[in-house]
Amino acid sequence: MLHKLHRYMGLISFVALFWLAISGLFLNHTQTFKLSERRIDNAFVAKFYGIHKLMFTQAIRLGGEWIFGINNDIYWGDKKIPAKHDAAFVSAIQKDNLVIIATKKELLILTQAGEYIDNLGIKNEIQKLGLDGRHNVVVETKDNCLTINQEYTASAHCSEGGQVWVQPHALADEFKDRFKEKWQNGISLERILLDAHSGRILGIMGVYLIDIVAIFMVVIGFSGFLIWLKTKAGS
Amino acid sequence: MNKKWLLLVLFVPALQAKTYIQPEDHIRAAFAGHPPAASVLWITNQIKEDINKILGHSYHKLRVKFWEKSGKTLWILDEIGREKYITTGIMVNHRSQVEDVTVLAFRESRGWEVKYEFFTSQFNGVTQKPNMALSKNVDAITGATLSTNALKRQVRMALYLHANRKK
Repeated sequence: MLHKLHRYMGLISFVALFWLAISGLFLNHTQTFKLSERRIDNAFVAKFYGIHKLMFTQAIRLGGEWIFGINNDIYWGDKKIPAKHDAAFVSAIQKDNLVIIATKKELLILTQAGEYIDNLGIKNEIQKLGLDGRHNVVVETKDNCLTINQEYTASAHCSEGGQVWVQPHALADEFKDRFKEKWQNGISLERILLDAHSGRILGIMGVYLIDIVAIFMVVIGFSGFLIWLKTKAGS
Repeated sequence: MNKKWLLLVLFVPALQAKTYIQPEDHIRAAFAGHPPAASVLWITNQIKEDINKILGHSYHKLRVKFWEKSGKTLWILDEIGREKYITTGIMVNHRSQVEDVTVLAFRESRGWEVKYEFFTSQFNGVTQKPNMALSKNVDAITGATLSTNALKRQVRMALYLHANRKK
């Protein structure tokens, strides 16, 4: 019975054990094999890891730099702005010595040097950004128009008219290509190996499979030890 | 039955990344429907240095908004747990004790257990020691270490800012 258990568990887990040993060997020497530097960049990997195509939004040019969005990230030139919410870029405006960037969910307030001061969440989806007749920052949402107070801490329904909305522009293709080179360079071989080694590459079921193999290894080891003891006792 | 359970296991983590309470609703509720106007505290000089020590990294904003009434302050702070921001409302009373900690939004796929009262109630009554540490030990949640540490940092920061808000 013990021999059978040992034999069949070994046969069942052989392939997985073989894979774990090989991938484990490589992962133990990631620096030697430069696994983190080797990148796999093809359509299959991109689709598997959900690396979305870079979606550029429209942009605003302020102070010689473009302010724009890539998917739901906001960029000012090369620098990513730490927005609280994952939301697409809408527009940007310079007012006094501040730069106000609107995403669909919030206003980001920065200095002209690009230092992040604060953010102001807006309940409804922001569609436009501009200034009213009194030079206050205003936003247009799906449902209403809101004026932002001087401290950028609160908003109220628009009471002034004469809103002038900022119109964003399309980004030049040359600029987009430069970004694509920098940001879209696949997944590291180390990442792929780690996911394959842990079973995560097959999702939660892969993780459970590796867990089962681990339990089998314990049983194989224990049963092997018992078989050895029996053989020793017999001889 | 087994398949349904399996589906739940697959999807529950993804369902946890969400906003529980809108900040404006929390502010209103915290002040019994009559919230004060927001004040701001600029993170500069010594405050910046101390905040960076508490957080273990450079704070990403130049100022923090807070709401004050009768010596009580409410701070709504964002701190990264693993990769995404956790938004937490922290109320500090006039005796500089934590009165309430509420997780308003949790955007990670794991560690959301920190939103439960069994964890956040540990902070009630906590004050800040001179070295900016919390006055009592707060038990972490197994498997949610990064999230629990993020909340501890947020509470330490709120207590510090409460004590230094007039500077």
